Amino acid sequence: MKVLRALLVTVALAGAACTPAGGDVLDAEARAEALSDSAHAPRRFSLQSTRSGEEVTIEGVVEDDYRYSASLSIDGRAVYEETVIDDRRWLRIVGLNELTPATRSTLDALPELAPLVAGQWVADASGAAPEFVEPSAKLRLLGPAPVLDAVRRLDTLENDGTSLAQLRTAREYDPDSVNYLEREDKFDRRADDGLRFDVKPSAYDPDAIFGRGLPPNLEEALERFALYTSYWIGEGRLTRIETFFDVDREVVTKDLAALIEATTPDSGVAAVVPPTVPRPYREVFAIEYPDIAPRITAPEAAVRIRLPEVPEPAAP
Amino acid sequence: MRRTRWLLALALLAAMSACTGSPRAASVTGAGRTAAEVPTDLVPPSLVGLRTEQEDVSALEEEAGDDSYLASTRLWSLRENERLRATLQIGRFVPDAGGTGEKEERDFRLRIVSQIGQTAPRLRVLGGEDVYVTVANSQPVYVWFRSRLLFVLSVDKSVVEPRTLLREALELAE
Repeated sequence: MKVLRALLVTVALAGAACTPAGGDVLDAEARAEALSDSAHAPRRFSLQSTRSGEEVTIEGVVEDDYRYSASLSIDGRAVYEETVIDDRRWLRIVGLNELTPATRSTLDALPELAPLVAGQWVADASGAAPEFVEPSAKLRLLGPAPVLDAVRRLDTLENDGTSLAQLRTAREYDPDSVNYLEREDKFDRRADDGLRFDVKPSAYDPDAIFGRGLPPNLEEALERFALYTSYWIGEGRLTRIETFFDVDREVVTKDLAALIEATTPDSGVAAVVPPTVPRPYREVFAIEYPDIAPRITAPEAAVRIRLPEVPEPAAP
Repeated sequence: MRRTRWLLALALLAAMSACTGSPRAASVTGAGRTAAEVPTDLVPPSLVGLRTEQEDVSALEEEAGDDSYLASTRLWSLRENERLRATLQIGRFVPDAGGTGEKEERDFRLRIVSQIGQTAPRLRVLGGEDVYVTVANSQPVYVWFRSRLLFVLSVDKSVVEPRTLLREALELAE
């Protein structure tokens, strides 16, 4: 009898250790399911991306996977609006001065884009991004496809094996845990958004980054060692994703310089041009799922044009 | 495996027809109907302005015999004047095809879609309906399942509004 009681106590303790306060448990399968249920649901979203002191915000409404509407602003100033319904794409620039000089030049050089430059809605009957082609062929404004990227953010997450694995294995946020370290806690608590799951980067390891020479994409290579991500799940859906690219530029710059020096021939002529060390950035992606699915409607009085296929403008 | 192969043969026929604009097969006339057959009137005379016509796939069906996941299948061509722009295949699964549970059914459907396309299928949800998008012969192929029916819409690259066509095809009801 005593043995049985001892066993029960042990089982109870083990259970308590695995169950967070409040009794909510979301195992790997439940998290993947939450993502799957979120990725294609009608929703509203807001993506705030802060880099080099500039804040880009994209706010959007998604009716379904081929119907959405969104607006993009920089530091609170509206730049452009976009609506996609199946094959058709509408575009309106409301903040011409916010575009880069390179993009402005592209727009000015194409007479058919005059209505767009004048601030009118334009409509392209086949302007929506194709399914299996990089969406960069059609006119770009501020990068390849920031709005589509935001619309497809959850879908991309679901189809990226690495990210999905991270979500499945992320550690549930618990500031009372013995493993909790405040210096690793990069985001606000926000209990109202549901349960939070943290993905922390590995300790910085220059050998892993530069051991085989210069990586083809330094920012991507650094993500493993600098990118913090937290996922919030509430009522079976992803409600928030926050990321913080917390890179120590000074240290990376030093290691990069050492690599360049070590690979520079005796002639003193550098064999490679060192890349710019990426700056820290933060992103907040918040999602809501309204009870009544939103309906996307076509903007009125749009000028019909064919959006040109233009190359990516040179970086300013 | 053999069953999947026959399904694939039919789907590829649809894909290849739309791609090459090959001469049309003999039209089916006066086809009878049994409970297992796909109704001939499931597809209207036109979809987004493209004229629909049922094509003869009886030889392939006959070849597949009882060794197919589909009890019956029909293929419609969608033409603009004489030019083939798309094909729509609708098949009815045999009673024992598919999974018993939700996960098994989903896995079965994914297996089917993977056999039809040449790229990893992407799930898209349109108006609450799951549609798998893939590519065969460089053209988009949309696949969806409704009750015991399989729909495969293969669209030629020249069609500028493939999703508008898909939306209308999704409205088809038995």
